[in-house]
Amino acid sequence: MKKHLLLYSLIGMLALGCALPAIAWGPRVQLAVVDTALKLVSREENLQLTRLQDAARAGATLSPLEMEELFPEMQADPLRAIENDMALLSAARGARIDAYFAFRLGALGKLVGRATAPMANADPAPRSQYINDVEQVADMGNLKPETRKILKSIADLERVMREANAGNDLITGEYQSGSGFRGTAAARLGIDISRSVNAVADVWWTIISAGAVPGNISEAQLQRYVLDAYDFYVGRDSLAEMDASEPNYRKLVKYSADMNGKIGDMLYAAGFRERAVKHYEEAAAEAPDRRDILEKIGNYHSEVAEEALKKGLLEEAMAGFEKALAINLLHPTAERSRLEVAGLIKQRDEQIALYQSQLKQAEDLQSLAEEEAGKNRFAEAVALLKQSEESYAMVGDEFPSEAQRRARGIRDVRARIEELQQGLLTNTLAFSGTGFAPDRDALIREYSGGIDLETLKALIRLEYDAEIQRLNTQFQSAVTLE
Amino acid sequence: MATMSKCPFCGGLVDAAADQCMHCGGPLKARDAQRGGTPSAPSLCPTCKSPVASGDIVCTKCGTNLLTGQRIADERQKAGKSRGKSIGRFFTYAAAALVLLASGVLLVILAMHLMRDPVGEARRLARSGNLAEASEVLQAHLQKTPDDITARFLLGQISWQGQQYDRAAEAFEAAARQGGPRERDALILAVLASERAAQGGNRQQLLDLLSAAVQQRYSMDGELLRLKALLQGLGEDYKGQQEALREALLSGAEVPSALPGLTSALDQDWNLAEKYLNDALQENENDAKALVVRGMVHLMREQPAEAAAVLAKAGAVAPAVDGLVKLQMGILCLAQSEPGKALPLLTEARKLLPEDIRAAFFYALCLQENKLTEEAIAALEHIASGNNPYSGIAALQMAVAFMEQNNLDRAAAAARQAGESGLNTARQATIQGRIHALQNDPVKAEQAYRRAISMMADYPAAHLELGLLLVSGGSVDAGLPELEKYLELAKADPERMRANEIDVLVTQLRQARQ
Repeated sequence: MKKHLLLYSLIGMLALGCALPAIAWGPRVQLAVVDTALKLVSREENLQLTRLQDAARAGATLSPLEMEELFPEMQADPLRAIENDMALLSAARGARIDAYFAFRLGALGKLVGRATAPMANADPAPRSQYINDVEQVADMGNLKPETRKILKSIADLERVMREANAGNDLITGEYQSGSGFRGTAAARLGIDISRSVNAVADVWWTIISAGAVPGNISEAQLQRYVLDAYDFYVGRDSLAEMDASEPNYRKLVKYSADMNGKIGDMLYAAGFRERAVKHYEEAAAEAPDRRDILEKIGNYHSEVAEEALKKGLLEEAMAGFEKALAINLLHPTAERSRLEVAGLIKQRDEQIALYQSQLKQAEDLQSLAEEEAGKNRFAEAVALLKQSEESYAMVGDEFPSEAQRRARGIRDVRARIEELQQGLLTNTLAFSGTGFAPDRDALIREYSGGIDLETLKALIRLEYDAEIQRLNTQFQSAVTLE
Repeated sequence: MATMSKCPFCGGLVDAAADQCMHCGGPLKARDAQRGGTPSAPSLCPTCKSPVASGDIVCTKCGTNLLTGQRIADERQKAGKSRGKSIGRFFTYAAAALVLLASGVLLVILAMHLMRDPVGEARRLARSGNLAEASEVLQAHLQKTPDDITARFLLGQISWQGQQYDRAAEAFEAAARQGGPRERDALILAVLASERAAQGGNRQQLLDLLSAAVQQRYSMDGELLRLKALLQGLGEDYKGQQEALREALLSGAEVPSALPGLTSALDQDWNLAEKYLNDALQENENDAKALVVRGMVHLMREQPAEAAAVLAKAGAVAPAVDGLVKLQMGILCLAQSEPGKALPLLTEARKLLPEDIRAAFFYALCLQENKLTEEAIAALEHIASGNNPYSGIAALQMAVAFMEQNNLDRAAAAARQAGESGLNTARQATIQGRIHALQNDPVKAEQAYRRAISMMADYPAAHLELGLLLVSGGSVDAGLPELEKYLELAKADPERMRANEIDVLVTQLRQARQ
């Protein structure tokens, strides 16, 4: 059933193809070949490669230009290109097959499929016609899977290529004679596609199961591979997969400052700034004199700070600018921005303090109003609540917490005023007696006048008495009879 | 000073150099010379050498007149010898002798009478403790010889000793008016006696006398000037007092430290008072009298806070002054709405001034302010039941206290009592109105409020109470103008008169009316 489905989908895809490149197998057949090979390897070798099908298919659907970029020798010497890539992938394989590895397998599968397609060496016109016809009628139902074999050398693949092109003259003849695809080409199509599928599967299996790492792979190649892997993951916005793969890459190559810088640039450009900065920081740790890296880190912190500033997160902005300055003291804008933020923080703190004091005042007035209301002094309570409302109204909207308290306070105050105003009208006599308050002062004034003068007179009397007392003593003898 | 001695005949004090006693006319020197000893030594008859007592006139042995030297006995002896010759002659001579003797006795009595010394006698009597008789002798003497300064002065002394100070004052004053060497003493003693007199004497008369003497003869006598200043102060002649005190200071007299400041304060010369008080306090910062004066000066200048601060530093002066100071401080605390601080001060004031009705009243008021209503009522009742200027206001305060206790019947009775005591004020009427209102008698309440307004159109409480009464009775239109009037009057003290609240009420009422 699955085989049928695959066949139908391949036919459908071939039917949709209109412009085919001047190489063997059209793109849909190539994709079908890669897909089928993937399934074969997964099933036969008990590998869970189908989970990476999307990545492999992505590799298999690379554009010619992308293929050219990935395999520069592809046109001139496809076998060498395949051989080199096999060596590279064998070296980069690691303990775990990740998505990028699957992508590379897909791309390599596409290349192998092309190389093992018939008519590779035929005249362009019948070849094109053949490829078009195959795109339309290719049927994977007649697939003849073979036992997986490890390629001992590239010569094994070369032999397959020769086999594939063995019927080229016959097919070319039939096309030239007008028979077209219906003859030999059609009769051999199942064998031809199976060959390609088996070739792709064998190449992959050779890579996956290779015991020894080829020695002809340079560090630069591996670095390029790793960088491409990051590029791949970044392009797919797949940081999780990247994170999962990264330990393998770190085993594969040493992350130089330059490499970390490039990874950082990739991530930064894609918007993964935090992750990018980690790589920048790693680079800076390795090469502290790299001003370009330091500037990038500084810029990152400055950018983050600017964004925080736009959101009104002043402390975060401040911390960001401070970090930027700590990393790059000569940052062109961080110091000015830091000072601005410091000013804003001060201003905001003062404003918050003011609002909080106004809120506290309003709440205190509310409490006082309740005390007054408790004593049936409703008018005083209302007056206090109105003052409270005024205090609440002075609080602005800038700070959510304070604004919330203000809104709640005003709502409560207004409701309470309404209640108390009703109470006021029904408790008019509660004010009785209020008007006597100044009477006490008047009473004291009226009945206490003159004590000051009286005291002074008493003092005079006291002095006089003392004088009389003194004279009495002095004149005692004068009144004694001699 | 001349040496004095006693006359051997009358015992009066005489000049030792005089020949005769100035009191009895008895010979002094001659007899001394004859006897060659002191007058008090035992003497002999010049004729028979029999001893004679001092003061004897006739020798009882030989009949020699010791004053004249004639021998009556000789005559008798001669007559006896010639008895045989002629009894007739005897009788003739005897009769003549008897006549002569009688004449001599009469002459002696006459001489003694003529030579009598009432001052000395009075002094002797006084010394022997017979003050009343001495005084009578002197008064009789002075009726005949009113210019006898010595007698006047002695009369003053005797009266003083007899604790008849008013008579002493009179005598000393008369002696002083006569001038002479004892004028100064007489002046001062007149003042002293006058102060001791039961009626208090005539201070102003003495002050006039003292002033005249000071002006004429004692212008640099610091002691008299100081006494004069104090007397003027007592007489509320503060300008004169200040002048006299200034002269006393110029004369070098010692003056109590606080007195100059006190005098200037009484004369309302604040700057000078301040200067003197500063000097006094610079010398002794704890001078209680100076501090009290300064405190009172602040009060008179309407600086209550400064007064309270200064008075708080003043120590004890004398109970009368201390009582007034505590009373004043208590009142200041009450006025500053600090009844808690006022209570101990007024308690002490009441203790120091037990008869002072003000102290009792403010103590009661303070109890009321401290919400000690029961105690306040008891204290007020005591004042209200008496006949004093505070009885009416005390009764009214009782009414307020009873009202606070919701004892409306007693409150009404107390308010009536206040009216009966003559307290007929807007406040009394308004309190009566409140009581009526609380007794659910709005008609009488309204009448009382309107009566209060007619008595005092700007009495805020009456307008408020009337307004509230009308509003609560549903007459909002009639009540609102009264409340608005109250608001206008409450601008003087909006906080204590709860103007904000009433304003809210008025606004609400207006809104409700609309």
